[in-house]
Amino acid sequence: MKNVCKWLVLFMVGLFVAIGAGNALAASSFPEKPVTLVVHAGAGGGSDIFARTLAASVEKDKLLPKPLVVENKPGGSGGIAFAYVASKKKDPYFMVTAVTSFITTPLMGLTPVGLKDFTPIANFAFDEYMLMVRSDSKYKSMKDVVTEAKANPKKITVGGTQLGSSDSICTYMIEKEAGIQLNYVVFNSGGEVNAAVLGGHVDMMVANPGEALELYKAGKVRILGVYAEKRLVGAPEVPTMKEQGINAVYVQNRGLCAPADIPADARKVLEEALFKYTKTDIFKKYIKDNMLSDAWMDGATFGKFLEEWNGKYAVILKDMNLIKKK
Amino acid sequence: MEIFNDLIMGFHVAFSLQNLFFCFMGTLFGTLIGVLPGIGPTTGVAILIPITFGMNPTTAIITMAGVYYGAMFGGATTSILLNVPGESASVMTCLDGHQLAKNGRPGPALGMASMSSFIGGTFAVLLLTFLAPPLARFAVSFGPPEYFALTFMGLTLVTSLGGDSPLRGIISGILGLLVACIGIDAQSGVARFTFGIMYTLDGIGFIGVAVGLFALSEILENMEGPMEQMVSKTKLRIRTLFPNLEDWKNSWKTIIRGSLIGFFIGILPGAGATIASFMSYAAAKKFSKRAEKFGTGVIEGVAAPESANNAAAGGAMVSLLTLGIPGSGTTAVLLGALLIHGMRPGPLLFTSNPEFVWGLIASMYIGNVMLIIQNMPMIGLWVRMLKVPYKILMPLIITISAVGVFATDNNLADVWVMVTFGIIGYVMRKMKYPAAPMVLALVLGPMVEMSLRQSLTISHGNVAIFFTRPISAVLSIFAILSLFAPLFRILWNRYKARGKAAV
Amino acid sequence: MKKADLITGVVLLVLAGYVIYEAWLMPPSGTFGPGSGFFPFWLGIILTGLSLILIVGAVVRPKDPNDVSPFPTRQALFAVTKVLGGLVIFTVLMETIGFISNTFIFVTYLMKVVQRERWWVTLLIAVGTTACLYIVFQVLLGITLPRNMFGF
Repeated sequence: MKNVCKWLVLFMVGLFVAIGAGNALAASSFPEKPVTLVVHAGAGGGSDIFARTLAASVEKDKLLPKPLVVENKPGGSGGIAFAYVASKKKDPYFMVTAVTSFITTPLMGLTPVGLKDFTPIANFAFDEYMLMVRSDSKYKSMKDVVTEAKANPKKITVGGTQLGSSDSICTYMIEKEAGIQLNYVVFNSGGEVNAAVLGGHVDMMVANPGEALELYKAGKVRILGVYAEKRLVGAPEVPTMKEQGINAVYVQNRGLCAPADIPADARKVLEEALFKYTKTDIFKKYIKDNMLSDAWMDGATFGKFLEEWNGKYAVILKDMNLIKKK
Repeated sequence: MEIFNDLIMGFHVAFSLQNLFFCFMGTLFGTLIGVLPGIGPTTGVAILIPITFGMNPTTAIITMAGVYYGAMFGGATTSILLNVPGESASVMTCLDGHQLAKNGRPGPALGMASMSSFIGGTFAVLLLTFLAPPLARFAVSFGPPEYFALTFMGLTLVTSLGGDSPLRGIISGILGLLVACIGIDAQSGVARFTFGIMYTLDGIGFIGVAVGLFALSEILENMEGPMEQMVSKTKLRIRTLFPNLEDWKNSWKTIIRGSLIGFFIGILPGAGATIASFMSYAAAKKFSKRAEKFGTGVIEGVAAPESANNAAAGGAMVSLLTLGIPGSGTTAVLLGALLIHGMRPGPLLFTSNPEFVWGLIASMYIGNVMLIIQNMPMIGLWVRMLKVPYKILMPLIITISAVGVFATDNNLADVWVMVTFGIIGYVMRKMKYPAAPMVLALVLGPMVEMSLRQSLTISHGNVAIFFTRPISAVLSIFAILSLFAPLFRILWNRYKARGKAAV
Repeated sequence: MKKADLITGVVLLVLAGYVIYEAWLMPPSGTFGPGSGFFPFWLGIILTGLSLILIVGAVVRPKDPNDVSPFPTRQALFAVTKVLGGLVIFTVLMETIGFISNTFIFVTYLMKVVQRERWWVTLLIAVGTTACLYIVFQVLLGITLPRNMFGF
């Protein structure tokens, strides 16, 4: 009996050494197996499309020797996916999509993990935002909106998704910068808000060009202003908010993060592969079709970007009364 | 007639060998997705997105749309055979479908499910063909007050599903509404009843609740006694596979009504096939001469939800194609897929990409025919499954439910929901509480609350908003009448009884 | 049914009390319209009413000699617990020991321990079920099923 035990222990030790050696070897030629890209939102959303387009390019353009596997883990405003990837500490075979909620969800105290639990890998693009009304609306420019809102505070209704979302932050920015009060109505999804604006049930909404430019071209809606420094390529006739005297600039980033403390060489491999991705036709088509602006940042720059916006969002969300005191 | 020319062009596109092949594959895959419990068309379409990257846009969307309405077709199968809802729009099909199977008529139930799916689906494509642009206006005519009136009316109908005891039905419904409150309240960002668990922030997953309440609780109850065949051999005759003339007599009105209800609710962004199937079932019961038999295995109880959920899938395409607004989870994924292929749905799509739009519409006629050809011969096979001894079937039902529920979001928490509601469902069965009101309240609850609060935010707290707008006023009055209908009925019966006693 | 209604009535009453209490603590609406506590609060009130009706109904109702107890027998309860316990352990172990081994063990348990099936039938069904599910979900649908530390 004793002998069996001894052999068993020896065997186990041998096994662990072998596995350990295997892992050490693996690190030198990352990636040895498919990398999992966790999407923090459901299938079919913006982040999902982004991830699946990337995965297709990794395969087609041979950006990595192993494929990228997309896995959706929606829920908890992204919190479930963030906590899941954060728990894979030191493991470079996991990445998670990082957009606005990557910063706001931890700030709002909805997930125990935060920026410190991740290694920023790269940022690819920015989503622009704009404010729009139905084409027969009496509001022709931001000036009309401000005049009306000053005369009748909280009368103009703005549709958007849940509090803390980009829509709500954009609305809040206008309220603050122009010194007015609007009436924000929460809907379940961007599609429902679109329908509510087209049906005249709410006065205006905050939208992405990808969602709304087609309606604009068809003459169904009018865009009052863009939350950007420069005018949009797709709609150069629309002025920015800044041009109309409202200092509101807002973009949503589209990036990727890995768990904290991953090996430096693995991080480099990922960064290089992803940088190559931004030069592919697939990526260029993706940017064009979804009307994003190209905004490559490597891991270090992206990390600084996240830190900077973390501070900005903390202030905004606190003003909006969305950061709960503990 | 320009539309006919367009449609002929569409059939030209759809009848290419490649498109026919992928339409066939899409519908077949959709049927499989529908048959599997838990996992539904949303996941099914998402799975296909990367596979369709290399295809031309028309073929890709024909395939994915095929998955969508194919899943609606297939969803009925496990609902009828095993009481496991194949996807959320097939929950209502469990109620009478499974009872029919138990009564030895699984064939006619499956047959009626396929036929009414086919009729509902084709009817919706017809309306889509001829009326899409004007219907787009209908889609946006529903604002928060209208949604409130509609969903509130739905909620008042829930009580009518209570079976013999209205009190138990109402309690079950209220519990469902309470479950619906769990999660972050989108309008204020406040977490309600989340018990500090991250999963609950997004609310309790519907499909886990439905599978737990219907399928798992039934298995638990069956485990009590000696294991028996689900359907006793004497009752099950393979030969009676199709609905007979009487079934058709009982169902044809329901199918027409279900197709209409399904299509129009499907158009509305934010309502969708699940609510359509429920409204159709409730309406079928309201108008039926044998309303008291609903829930014990009447064939119209299968025809109503199945015609409606297929018609709703067609209706959802209206707002997707003409406005670029997705009316359901699945059309949201389809929208994403369209964008990947460089198609931007919206008012301009019909003029800028006519081959694409009409090819897709034509493929939906073809797909519905393909589905009925695929599904009818399968019925014999499915029915034979009931001859498999229950003790062999049981482990399969449990594991396939668990994995199916897991696969919807890759989240084990959904399996825990299924287990929890399996236990709750078992207790409810023992105490004679119906499960259907709870499940439906869970779907309708968030919409009722959301639209109520949206409406009052818009009106600055003025309740008049529900009665000053035409659509909402009509629906609100219906809702109020329906709420007090049982009371009127009781008073009326009492009055009649008193009259008789006096004589 | 009388006893059962009394018990469920009391349970629901306690639940209603908890809901009302929680809803009361929720912050009021920041804008127009009802706040987040409005809906649960009134649901709690309605549930209180309904459970009182249930309790009073059970108390008032005369004793019916044909009344069947809805409670399962001890034997039935044991059988149900066996399946349920297995399912709970199955769910707990899923992410630790991976889908394949877990499903195989669970089905073997159901067939052998719960249903006392012969060994060859048990193993056949266990292997068959596991393989079927794996092929359909992992291979055909490309869904990542949980794996254990050894990668299967």
